Amino acid sequence: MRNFLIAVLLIFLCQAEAEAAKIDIYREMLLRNSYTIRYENLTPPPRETNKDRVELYGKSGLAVSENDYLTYRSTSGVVTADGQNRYEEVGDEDFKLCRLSKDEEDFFFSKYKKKDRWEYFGTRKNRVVANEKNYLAEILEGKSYGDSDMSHFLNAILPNTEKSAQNSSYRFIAQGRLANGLFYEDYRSDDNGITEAVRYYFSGNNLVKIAAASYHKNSDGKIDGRRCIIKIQEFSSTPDKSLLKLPEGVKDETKRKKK
Amino acid sequence: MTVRFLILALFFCIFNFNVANAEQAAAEEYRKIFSSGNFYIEFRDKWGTRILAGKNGMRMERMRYDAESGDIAWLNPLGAIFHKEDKNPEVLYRDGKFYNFIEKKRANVCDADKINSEELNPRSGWNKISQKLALPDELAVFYWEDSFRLKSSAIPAPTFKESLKKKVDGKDYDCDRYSCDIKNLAGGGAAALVYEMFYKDGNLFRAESYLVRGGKIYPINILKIQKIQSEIPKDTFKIEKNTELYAAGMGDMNDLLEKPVKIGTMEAETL
Repeated sequence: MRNFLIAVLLIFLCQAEAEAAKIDIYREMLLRNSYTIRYENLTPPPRETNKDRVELYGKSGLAVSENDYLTYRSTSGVVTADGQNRYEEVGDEDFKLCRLSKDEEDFFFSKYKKKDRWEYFGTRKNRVVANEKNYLAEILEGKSYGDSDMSHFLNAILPNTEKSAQNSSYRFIAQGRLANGLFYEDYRSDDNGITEAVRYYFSGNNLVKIAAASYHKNSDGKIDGRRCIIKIQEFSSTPDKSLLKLPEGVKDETKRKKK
Repeated sequence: MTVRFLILALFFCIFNFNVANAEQAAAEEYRKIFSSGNFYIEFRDKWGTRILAGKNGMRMERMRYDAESGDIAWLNPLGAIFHKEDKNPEVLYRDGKFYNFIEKKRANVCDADKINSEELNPRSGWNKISQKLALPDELAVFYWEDSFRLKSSAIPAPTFKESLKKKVDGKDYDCDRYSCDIKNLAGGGAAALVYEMFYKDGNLFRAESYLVRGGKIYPINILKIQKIQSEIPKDTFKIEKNTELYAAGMGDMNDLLEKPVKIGTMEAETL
């Protein structure tokens, strides 16, 4: 009987340790608002269709799926945060959509590669104007982490207290080690008529890949679905401060009211 | 004596508390007007002055371009004169169809039962048309159930909290405050959404919304209300004679070739 109880306790402790998952480190980084993430989305975002959810109170992130150039293209993204100051960009090697959030203002601009140099366009070439930050959209949809896929998978690991009630709740399903040595943790959601499974891959303790599959019934009652694979190139707790300011040569033309 | 004084003091406390917290009488009137579905409102947001009207299940919305319309007329008086004759709405719901007026006398038409179809051209903005016809949130405080509103499950209907005096441009006005908590997935509150209704001579003239999170206030929107009435001006829902009507593109060959199918031309009508 005593041995049995010890065995149960050991199983419980092992499980408890297992559920103190590897993803926790990354969740903490996001909650502390201190990180640099570089990634490649190997599965391009689908073209936005009329059935796509309307952002009732605007978007919290970059309009990647509305950009014709980026549709059906593999994209890469960079997101860095140091407290409330953040920078994010999404695009390919020739074009990127960018947002710098600084002192409660948002600067949206794009950059184009021309003769191995980046050219910046906000309101016009090398000029940007600050926009009011859309806090309501951020609360409702969650923070943006580059494209909508990456934003979705990183918001998924946040606790339910950090997500608005219109989002999906994810639960831990399983973990294990693959033949190639990678460790994985699986999470699942069954909210809003969509079933989704997300697998986070780790090499040692480093998050190296996110893969997901989701399906739902479309308006004709047929099963529709999507898969997504994201390669993580960097996910560190150190903000890249060189990105948390306007690029050299870009001028802020905002006319601010005197306080 | 002391007991009598205390009772009197208590009475005044309760009495004053009720007075300070009573909702403006007009609020009930606005509730009746909006819930009846028959209303005509003009309000100014950061984009300009807009007209929104409902009548017997119909709904329309358009920018007001006439000479009284502040900045637009001032910036472009010729445009104001030109647009004075342009009475077509920008968007309209009528007889089970949504009309999206893309030019002065040209509209795309989509049956209401196809408005959520995946086949519709995503660039045509049909998924946002219902939102344009909905009461803006600041006025939906009086009728949150408006059927054209797309609702977030995280935002419940705001409720009346208090009535107070508040300054706008240095002057004191009666202000009714409504609020709700934006719910998080754990069932708690993520932030408070606050709506403030300002009254002058008993009529609503300004509605503000803001977010309160972590003790900080984040402004969302300000509407300057010019008209709220149940009388609908003549021809508000009328489609101008000779307006060409085209079927909404459903991803077929005509859609791909950008050659929309004409389904008719409006004859003269009276509403």
